[in-house]
Amino acid sequence: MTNILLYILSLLVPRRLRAGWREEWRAEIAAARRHGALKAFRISLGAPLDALTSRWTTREREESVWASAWQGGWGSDLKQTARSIARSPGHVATVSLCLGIGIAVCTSAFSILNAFLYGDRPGIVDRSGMPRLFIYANERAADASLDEFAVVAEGSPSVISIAAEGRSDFSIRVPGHDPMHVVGAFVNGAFFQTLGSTPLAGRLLSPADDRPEAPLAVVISHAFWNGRLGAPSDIVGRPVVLGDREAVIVGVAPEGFTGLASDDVDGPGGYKVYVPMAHARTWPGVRSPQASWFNMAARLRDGVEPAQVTAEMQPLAARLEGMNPQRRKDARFIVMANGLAPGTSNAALLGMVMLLMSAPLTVLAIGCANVANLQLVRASLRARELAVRASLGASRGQIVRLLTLEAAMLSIGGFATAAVAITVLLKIAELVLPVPINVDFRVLLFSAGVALAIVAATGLLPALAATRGRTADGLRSGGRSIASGNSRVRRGLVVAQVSLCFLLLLTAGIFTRGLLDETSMVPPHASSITIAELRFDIRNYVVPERRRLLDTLEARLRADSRVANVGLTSVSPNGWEQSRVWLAGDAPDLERYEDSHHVTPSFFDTANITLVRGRIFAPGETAIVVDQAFIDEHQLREPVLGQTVKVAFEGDQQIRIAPIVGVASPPPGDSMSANSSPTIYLPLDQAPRYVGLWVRTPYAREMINVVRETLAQADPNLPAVSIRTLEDHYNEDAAFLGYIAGAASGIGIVSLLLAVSGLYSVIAFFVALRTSEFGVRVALGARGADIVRMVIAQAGRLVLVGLGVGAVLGIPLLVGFNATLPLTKPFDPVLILTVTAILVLTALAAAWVPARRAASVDASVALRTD
Amino acid sequence: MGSLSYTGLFVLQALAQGHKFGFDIMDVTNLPSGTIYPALRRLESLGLVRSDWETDKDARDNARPRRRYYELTKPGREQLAEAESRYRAVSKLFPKRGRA
Repeated sequence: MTNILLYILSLLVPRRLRAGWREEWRAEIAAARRHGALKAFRISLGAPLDALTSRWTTREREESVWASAWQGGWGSDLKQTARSIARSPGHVATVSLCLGIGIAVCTSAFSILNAFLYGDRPGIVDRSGMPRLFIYANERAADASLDEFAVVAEGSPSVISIAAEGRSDFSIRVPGHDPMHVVGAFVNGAFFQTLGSTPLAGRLLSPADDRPEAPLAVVISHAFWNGRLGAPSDIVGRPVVLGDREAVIVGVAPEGFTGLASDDVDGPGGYKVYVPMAHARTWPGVRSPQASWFNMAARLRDGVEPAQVTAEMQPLAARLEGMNPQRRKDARFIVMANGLAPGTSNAALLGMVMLLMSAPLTVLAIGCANVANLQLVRASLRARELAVRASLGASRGQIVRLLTLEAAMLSIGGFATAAVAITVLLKIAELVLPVPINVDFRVLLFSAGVALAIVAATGLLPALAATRGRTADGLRSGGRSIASGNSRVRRGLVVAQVSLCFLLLLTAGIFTRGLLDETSMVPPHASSITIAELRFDIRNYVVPERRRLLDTLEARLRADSRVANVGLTSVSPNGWEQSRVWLAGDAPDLERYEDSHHVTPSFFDTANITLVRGRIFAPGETAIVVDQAFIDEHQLREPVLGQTVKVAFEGDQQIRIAPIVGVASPPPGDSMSANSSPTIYLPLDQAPRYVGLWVRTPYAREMINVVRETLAQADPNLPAVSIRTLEDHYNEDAAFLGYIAGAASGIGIVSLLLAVSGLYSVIAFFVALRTSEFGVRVALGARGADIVRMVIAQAGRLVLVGLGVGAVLGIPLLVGFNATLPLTKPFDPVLILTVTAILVLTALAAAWVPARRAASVDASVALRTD
Repeated sequence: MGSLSYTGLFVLQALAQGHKFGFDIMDVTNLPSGTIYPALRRLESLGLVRSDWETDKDARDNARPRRRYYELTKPGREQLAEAESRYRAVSKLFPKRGRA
């Protein structure tokens, strides 16, 4: 009975003290019983109170128990860990660096991609809640035309509002400034309201402005106000002339605001002016109301699914189909998260993401493999130390605690390095990229988690295996038994590192080679050509006016003694144009399109295009010049000259029958010349909307200002889109590839360093392990060179296997590159050999250091070694 | 370290006199068991007293459950000495325990 009561009361006592408490009270009561039942009863009265108060009366003791546990357990482990880490600073630094770089490269790359696809944009509130809206018909997604947006704007109950913007070119005259050509956008009245933008100054456009009868109010961008206009404080309310219409600047858009589709803030592609859409219909030279040129984005109510919007807007889609039954057959709306084109198939999307993300993930993998290798080496070296600890009474729990602390400390070092590296990488990215970039914490957690798991697993598992009841083995072997146990794993890791590194270097090489090719495509004459690009559709010019202006410009420039020649073309240096072509015997409904250039006769000489045979068409003559690729492609029989071709170029429904009068060489340095794309040259009779005025002169750069002044004298109201040298155009093309090549090269170099350090650590370990063997060999007469050869051969075998695996894995990669990036040349034997040579030489250099160390082993010292 | 109550002082004094067992202390101080045991726990947590279990053999030889014996620690003795210098009568409170 007493025992039962004591048991019940003991439940009030802290679990840790419960058994002792019961035993003590049993003894107390038993002692009291010897002095009579009354004494026993008296003493038992204290038990409930003791049980009740035990939680408080023993608290300080519990705390002191913890404190002593700390002093004797974790605290001492911490001290030992700190000591052990201080003894191997190289190991800690390498592991921290490998982990840090792996995490940082992975996190930064994903953060940058995420910022592009889904990230916030200045001046747009909650971009992720504002998906893009497309019209899907005839198996393709399209933006809306002006007419269609009038229907789409009706929206649906799930949609709060819809924003639409259509890019257009404008000329703008601000009092006190020269006329300027700017890129801008027609936007609907609800545009800024949908985006949640707030003005930097004045106000933004509202539905009241978006009426045809409303006075023309425009909003300018911060970059335009600050950069081009000099940030005047009285900008709001200032009258301007936009095109040929009077307008008023009503406000300045927020800093960094780029609208829906553009990511270009300060560059030539960034919108400088926002104009109400109601004026688009009557704007001179603007695209037709049926053309699909309005990007749309919908602000959805909370919790609305894309499918719901699609369903709700189906009646509107049916109306669009009714307006244009062929073009919008079976139309429906699709709602897409930002940044992805709806035409992208899942396979293409997967391929793109794999391509973009495989490099940083590979760096993480190499970094982790490296850490695993280093940790395994360390575990092998420490097997004896752990065995000693175990033999001195350390439990497996204590050893696990010690190793956990070590892993935690190494991870902290890695995370600290990662934090610094991520900050630096994102700062650099922000200098180059136009979007704000935030750290993607999901990726950070993922990569940090992977790294932590690797550190913990490679730190704990081998050591636990080493202490599993084989203390004597550990003591006897000096760690060698453990070393042989995981050496295969380590070799496998080195092979994996080398193969991954090979793939990354190859990728980096492909992009760098692409950049070099692109740069080398700049032909020598590009630095002696100045190009002024003119757009007549930004002013309401009639064709004779355009012609007169071009004649005047050409004559004035020719009069300059520095000018060698002047020519005109309808195609911009970075653009292309196609015409529908029928050859003799073609059916009338045949749709064959070829690259075409409308040029003046003098353009050939200006652009250094030589005639292989025949002649150039005369001014006003209906004739064409073709290039050899055109002849080859269509297997034209001789005589080619004199054969007639029917041509209808875009925007001109009139079909012309023109004889071939000449055959031209490919344009020098044309990026397409390698593929020999067939091209035809037609006479530039009427001035098209776009004209490129090419001036050949040895003083191309100086002539930029001359051309600008000549243009301003000829027509002060027509600003040029740009006046640059041909070399500048080529360089601009190469810049994007340059970014990719730079990033790929950087990642390649980082991975090379990581892989090489991994190889070094493994070879160094093998050397350390075989010290006594080398001693024996030296004692038996082996020379230093033999030992070096032996160690290098061991490293060489690992590298060769790694390269073999890399080559097998690389074939699909190269095929993928070939399919997706036609400008690069993945199957380039020189490149593949160069990458292989770099990897092999660096790896052998890494093996050389430990090999030399092995060769310098003193036989007597080595033989004394355990 | 918390201040020493009279109960605590009595318990320390009883221990100093050789009363090492809870029942003994209760018997000699005449304090109720509901006071003695919490006081012992508190003194132990303060580090003035330490406890030790009787060996299994002794308990078996005397045909009783194992007892928990308490004794003064060095700080306990110092604390008691300080209290005795202040309260002269404390040392005469309880008789010394004779040999068991």
